[in-house]
Amino acid sequence: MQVSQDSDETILHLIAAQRDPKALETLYDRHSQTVYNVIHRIVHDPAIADDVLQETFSKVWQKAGEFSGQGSVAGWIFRIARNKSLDQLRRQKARPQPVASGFAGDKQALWGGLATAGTEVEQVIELHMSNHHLREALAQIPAEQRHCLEMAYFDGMTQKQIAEYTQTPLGTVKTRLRTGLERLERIFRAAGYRDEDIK
Amino acid sequence: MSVELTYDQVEEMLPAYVLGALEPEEIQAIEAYLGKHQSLLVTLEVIDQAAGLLAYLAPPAPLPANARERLLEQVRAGQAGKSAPATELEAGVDHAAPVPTAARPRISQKPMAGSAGIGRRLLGMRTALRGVSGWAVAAGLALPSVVAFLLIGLYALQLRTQLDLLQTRHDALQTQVLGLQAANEQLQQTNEVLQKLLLEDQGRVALIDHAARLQAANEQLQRTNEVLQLQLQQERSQLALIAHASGDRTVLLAGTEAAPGASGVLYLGDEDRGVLVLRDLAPLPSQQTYQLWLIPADEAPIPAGLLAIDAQSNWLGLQLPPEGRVFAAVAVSVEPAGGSLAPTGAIVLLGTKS
Repeated sequence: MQVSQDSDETILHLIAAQRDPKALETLYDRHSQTVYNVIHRIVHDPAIADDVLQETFSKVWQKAGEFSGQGSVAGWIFRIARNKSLDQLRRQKARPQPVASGFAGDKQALWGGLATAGTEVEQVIELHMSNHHLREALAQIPAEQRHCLEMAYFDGMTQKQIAEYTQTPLGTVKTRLRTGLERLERIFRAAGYRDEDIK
Repeated sequence: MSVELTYDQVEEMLPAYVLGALEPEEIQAIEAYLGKHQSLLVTLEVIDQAAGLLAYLAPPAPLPANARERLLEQVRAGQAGKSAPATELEAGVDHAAPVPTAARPRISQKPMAGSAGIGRRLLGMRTALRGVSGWAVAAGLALPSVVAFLLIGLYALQLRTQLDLLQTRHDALQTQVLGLQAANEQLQQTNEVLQKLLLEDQGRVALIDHAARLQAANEQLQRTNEVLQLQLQQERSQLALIAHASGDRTVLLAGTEAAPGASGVLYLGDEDRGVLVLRDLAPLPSQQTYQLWLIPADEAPIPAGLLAIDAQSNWLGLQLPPEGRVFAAVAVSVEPAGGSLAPTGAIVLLGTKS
């Protein structure tokens, strides 16, 4: 069965209705890199990240029929991966520590991370959204807002924790998170991003 | 956070809620609000989708070796009926549905509170039936079915709640769509009106422009008409002169050796006016001109005017010098441009007054 040209929604339906492993393969090939990037960024340990990756796609296989249709399939998978990763982080009782991976306002490192030639990230992003739009969009988010977003999204920190860690007033952190996310949403809408652009 | 939040407060907190960056009591307050007011659910969904894009901020990391193969092997093994935990992490971990920590309102958790009370009621029933042997066996056999039935009922209730929620969201979206459609129709109508006005305006501008061009053309025609009228008047006057010229007021000119084929007639009118009609006299280059002479008897020729000859005109109206009223002969010579005081060039036409 040729599934490679179908939409993510169609493929998910094939998994749910027909239990077709090839459909899962296609979904895996499309999204595993981004999913693993998210997991690895959160848990940091490659062995644990490997396990969480397996769990994530196992969950996709098991719960394909429960996708509500709201938002994109990719977003749903990322959410599963993120939740599992954050659960794992909490189970390890590790205090969330933002990793100084060059994202603390270092645009060069950010671009370097995204721009590695030949990586699957490049291929995945190219597949679903132009690099130009993505780079432009991310560059338009001020560094302090992006940093707060990353601490919340990848490190599972609450606003209070972010405020304590960065020694910034809580109100400022709240504003940065809110405006950063609003800006991201506006930029992608303005760039013609639609739900189906992220497959 | 026991104080009920307002719409604005909840809307402000939604991004942090979606990111899971709120304290537990804040999450509770928001979910309590969303449970009662669905108006922000669409906004929540939009923010949730945007937040999903943050996944692309993660730096790339190389995929584990054979991860794909291991996953597919596990899936196929599961299909074949063999059960094994996928990972060490799975053992002992309750993998509930992928409800994110804060991305969805936990309204579905409500039925969980009711299931504990149902469990207690079931236990009481079993105690009351103890000692009734036959009935106890029957009740024991029926109990799993009853429990299963109740659980299915609870699940159905949960699904129903979710369905109601989805229906409400759908209705809200439907209302928005209808509103947008109405606004769109209104805009289309306004657009049509504006198009019509624009066309009318363009038509008016075109008419004004056309009228201006016609006006300019009309003025040009009037000027041309005036010039032509003047020419006509002059020619009529000359014709009248010719018509009334008698024999003694007409001088015939014949071509000389310099212009053997040329000829001409000078008609004399009142007030020293004259008309010179020429034939077959070739036009001259620009540095030369024909000049008319009135030659009195025994006196030097009197210059009587320069003659501009071209292919179109061989008919010239003249105003002759008064001192030439008494003349015996008429001549035309070739002179330098601007004329001469006395003939210097070849004489091309000559005639005597009868």
